[in-house]
Amino acid sequence: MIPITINGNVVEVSEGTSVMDAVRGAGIDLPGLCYKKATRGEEGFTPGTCRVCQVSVNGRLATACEQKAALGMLVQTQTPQASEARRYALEAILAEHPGRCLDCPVNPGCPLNDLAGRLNCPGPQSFFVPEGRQQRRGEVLFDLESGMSMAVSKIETAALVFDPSLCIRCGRCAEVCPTGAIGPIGRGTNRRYGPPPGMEFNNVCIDCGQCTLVCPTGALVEAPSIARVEAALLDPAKRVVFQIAPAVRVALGEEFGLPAGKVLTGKIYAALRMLGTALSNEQAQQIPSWDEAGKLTRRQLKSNVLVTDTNVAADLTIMEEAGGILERVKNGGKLPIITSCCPAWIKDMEVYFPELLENVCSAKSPQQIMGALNKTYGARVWNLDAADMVTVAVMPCTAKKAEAQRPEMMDSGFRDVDQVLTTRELARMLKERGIDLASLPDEKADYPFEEYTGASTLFGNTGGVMEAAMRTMYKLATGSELEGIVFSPARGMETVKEASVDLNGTKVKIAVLHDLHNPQVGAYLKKIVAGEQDKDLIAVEVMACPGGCIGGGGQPKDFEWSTKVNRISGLEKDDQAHRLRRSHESPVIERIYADVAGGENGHAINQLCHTEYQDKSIYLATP
Amino acid sequence: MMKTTSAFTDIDLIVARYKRLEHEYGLPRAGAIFECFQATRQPNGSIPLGAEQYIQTKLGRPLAEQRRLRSQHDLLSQGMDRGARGVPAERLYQELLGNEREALTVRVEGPLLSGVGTYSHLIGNYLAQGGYQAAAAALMNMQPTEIIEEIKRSNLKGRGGAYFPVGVKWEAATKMKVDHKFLICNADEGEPPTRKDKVLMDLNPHLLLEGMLIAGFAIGARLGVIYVGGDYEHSIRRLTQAADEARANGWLGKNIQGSGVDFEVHIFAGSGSYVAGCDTAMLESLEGKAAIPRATPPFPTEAGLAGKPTVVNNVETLCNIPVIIKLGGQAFSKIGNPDCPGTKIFGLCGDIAKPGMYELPTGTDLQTLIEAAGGVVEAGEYGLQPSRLAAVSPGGVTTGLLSAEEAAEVSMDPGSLAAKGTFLGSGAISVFNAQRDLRAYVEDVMAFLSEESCGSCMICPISIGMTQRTLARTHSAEASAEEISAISERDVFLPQILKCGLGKSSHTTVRQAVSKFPTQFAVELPVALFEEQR
Repeated sequence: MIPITINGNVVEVSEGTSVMDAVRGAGIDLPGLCYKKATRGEEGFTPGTCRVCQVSVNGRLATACEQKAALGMLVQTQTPQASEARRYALEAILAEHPGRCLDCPVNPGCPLNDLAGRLNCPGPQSFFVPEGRQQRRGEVLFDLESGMSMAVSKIETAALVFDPSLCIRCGRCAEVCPTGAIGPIGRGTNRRYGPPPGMEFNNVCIDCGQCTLVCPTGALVEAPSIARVEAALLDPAKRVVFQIAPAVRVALGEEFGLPAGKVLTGKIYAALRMLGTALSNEQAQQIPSWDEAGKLTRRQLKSNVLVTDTNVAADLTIMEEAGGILERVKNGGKLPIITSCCPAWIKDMEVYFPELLENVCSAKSPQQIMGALNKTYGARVWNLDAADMVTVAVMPCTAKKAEAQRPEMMDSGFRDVDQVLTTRELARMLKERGIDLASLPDEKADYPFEEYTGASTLFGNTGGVMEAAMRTMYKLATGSELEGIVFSPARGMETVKEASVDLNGTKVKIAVLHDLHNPQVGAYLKKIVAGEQDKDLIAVEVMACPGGCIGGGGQPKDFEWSTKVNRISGLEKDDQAHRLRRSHESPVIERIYADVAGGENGHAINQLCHTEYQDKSIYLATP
Repeated sequence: MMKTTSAFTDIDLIVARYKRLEHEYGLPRAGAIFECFQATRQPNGSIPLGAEQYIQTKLGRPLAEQRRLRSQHDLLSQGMDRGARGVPAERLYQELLGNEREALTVRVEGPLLSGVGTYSHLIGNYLAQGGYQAAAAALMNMQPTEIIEEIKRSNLKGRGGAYFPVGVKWEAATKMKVDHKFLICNADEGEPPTRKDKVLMDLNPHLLLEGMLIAGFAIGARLGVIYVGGDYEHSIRRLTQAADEARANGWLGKNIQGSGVDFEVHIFAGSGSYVAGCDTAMLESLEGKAAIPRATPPFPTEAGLAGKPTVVNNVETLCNIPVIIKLGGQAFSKIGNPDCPGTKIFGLCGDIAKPGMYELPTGTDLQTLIEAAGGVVEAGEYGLQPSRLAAVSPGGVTTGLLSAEEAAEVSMDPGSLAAKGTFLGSGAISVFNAQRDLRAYVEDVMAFLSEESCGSCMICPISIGMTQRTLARTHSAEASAEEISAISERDVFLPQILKCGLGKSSHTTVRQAVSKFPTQFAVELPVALFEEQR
């Protein structure tokens, strides 16, 4: 620990602390647009691009984020020179920003706008920006292939939107991007952020959306889906069938002032039903439902919304996946088997690790299984025409938007999942309606998907799929239940977790990976590609985002490590609170297997739950 | 597997050489990427996909990252017809040097340029003129601490433009006890119209190698890296040849001349980035990354290349080392200006009768220098004719502008020029007669900076771009006086806010131009506005 003086007060900080952290630790929220604090579990970053965090260090101006605290350092945050410089740096950024804030996808909630307000900075006064500054000068770049000029224009993929006119070039996106899809190009006044020269954004990007979490403006956002969902909600002829992902229930509350990790499953169900259009008696039909006493009866739909839960499909995924692993072990199939629930990882595999195509489990992700079930089995139970159904998934994820649009995802005969909302988008919709989430009563999901197990809710955090699969696999392999139920080697936030398990006398190994940005994950996967992994490694879980889905690109814009930890402990509490904590114990799953055994619309359950992958590496370098 | 073609054999050889350098001297092998690019680059600036993929397998740098890196370097992203330094720099060179660019006329000689004209780039001639005697004296008879003491006594200041005391820098690097240290010779001479390092490397390369050998011995570095701008192809050839000769004659390599001292030199060709001339950006470049300056502290002498103590010295600085060892620090400190002693190579160009390289003691009056170069001229009916001096850029395009009155008063040393708000910089003096359109010159300077800024700190390219726009608006007299004074305000704020020399000095020239030559910008400015800014 070394003492430094901040505004006259002596503060003890540990060696290597940045002045920024020291100042913020001392209770002064120094402004900054590009810095991210390093935490025990995660690296921070200091691109030093925004230059806003100017403080006086030993009498000279310096950026607090780039300076390390040194013995006897004198830091002053409020000198006339420092506050002027902070304002000047911010004004420069505003000078190139269009400033059409009402029209912005992150209004309200834009960090840049908030900062300008906080620093009483009404605009780029010092820069004499003339009329029509929306038109940015010099969008011209040089194409490496042809030497010809090339412009970065607005990029829209199924998952993300990048609007270069809103980009302030802070470089945060490049710091979190796992593939280099977004990053700096060129230099000088022509320096821009965009896809690598000569490469198509969508062919490089894996849709994880981590960039949308860190972008301080509306330059990088999820592909918008609200309008299309609203249109369906307003149509009384449509039945909108929602499903919510595990990680949504522990994060949505943050947008409504509730602590991270608070489990809000019942309240979210209630809120979703409130989003729908009220139905008249003629329009509304009866659907099966449980009454107070637990007896199956019928209820009339109040709005055109039905609520299901992705967790039920996660239980189904576990049954399929655990079975798949054991089958491959028994029959000498391709090992290790790698999980397939994360669509960003699936795209990463298809583009960068096509050698692993056969390793990846063929089970669809829970979102797609749920969508297919809703439009087949669900349609039958609710007596609906699948053509009138609009399936909407609420996901912590941007990649899910692209996954829903994959051409092969039409096993129900229709688009299995029509729309995907991120957690942030759902929060926007609820706020637009004026729905106060915290005050809502707890409701239940609709029959026949009314109950999920504790195992399935763990899908939302890193290691959760492995833990859930382990609980079932152990039973299937040994005939007895996993002792103590919690599979602790899969828990925790280490990037690479490995464990050995004794399955009926056979020692096998499993591994859990998350955060594709971390080079350790890539190194581990390369080892598998080269066949250098431990020979008894049978199963690997891979999640693209740090912490798993709870840290997904569609979550509320809080990427603090502690928030992720809180969200995970929320999911673990949800698991504990459940009557049933193993997927194979679920009566709902048993019922689905029984009901769908004969196939659905002529599709066997196998077809609804499984899919195939494709080598996409060839598209990488071809524009 | 990829079919191996001759281009890929090149990559294999380059990577193998860097692996060896990493193993022996700790030089990061990632730096090999630039040489790999240069070896596989096609005349139109592109690199075949197969080569890119091969580089990816050899160096582990994904395609996306390679493409981004190349887009930040002139030599790797553009066709050769665009010029090695980019369009604005070429224009400035043409404007100020005309056809003199490659001529390198040496007019007045001092100890640094003394061998010039005698083929001293060949080791036989160099040795005959007393070459490597200083190195022999230093290696055989002096301790590293004694050398540093001698350099400190000489009060030699770094000739790259910052004029930091060399002895102090060296001493800082010796404080750390680590396995590897590096000496880097900054030979990435990017500021138009500077050519002084090119003269030294082309005509007197052994003087540089001798200086590096002594410096390396003094700070305890076993490897010296010469970072040469990629457009200096001739210099690279000369240096390579000189290093080979020195190695063959026992002045490089293991156990030099039986002294037990090991020292090796590695020549690293830049890829066309002006900012790489900034010491910390150069380190990034040597580590295979884009040339973006680092925040200091830590300074390179504490944690430089690969985190090891590193001394970065300019070519001219290192060429002065043998001179000091021969003369003795005391005698050297008596030459020229006492605050910055020694001789200095001044490159005179622009509207001058005899453009060329003049090696004179520091502190020489600018007026004397201009007279020595034949005085100010303009194009007349029958060729060049005498003209009136209007302005002088004292040390490169970012060092400000002196009016004719100021030029009459100053002497060429850092202190005297700083008193007028300008810098000695690299000592590349551009002389302007009364016919010159200074606004066009300033616009070219801003265009140069706008292309050469690394663009990492947002405020730097934004400010440069805004200033360019204001200058363009002065053509139609649209720019208001406040708008022009905002340019001067930028020169006040940017040095406080930015971390590198380019950003800090980006508005020096334009500010002085608008304040000292307001009529050239077709606007009447209230004088008080500028008094206030100062």
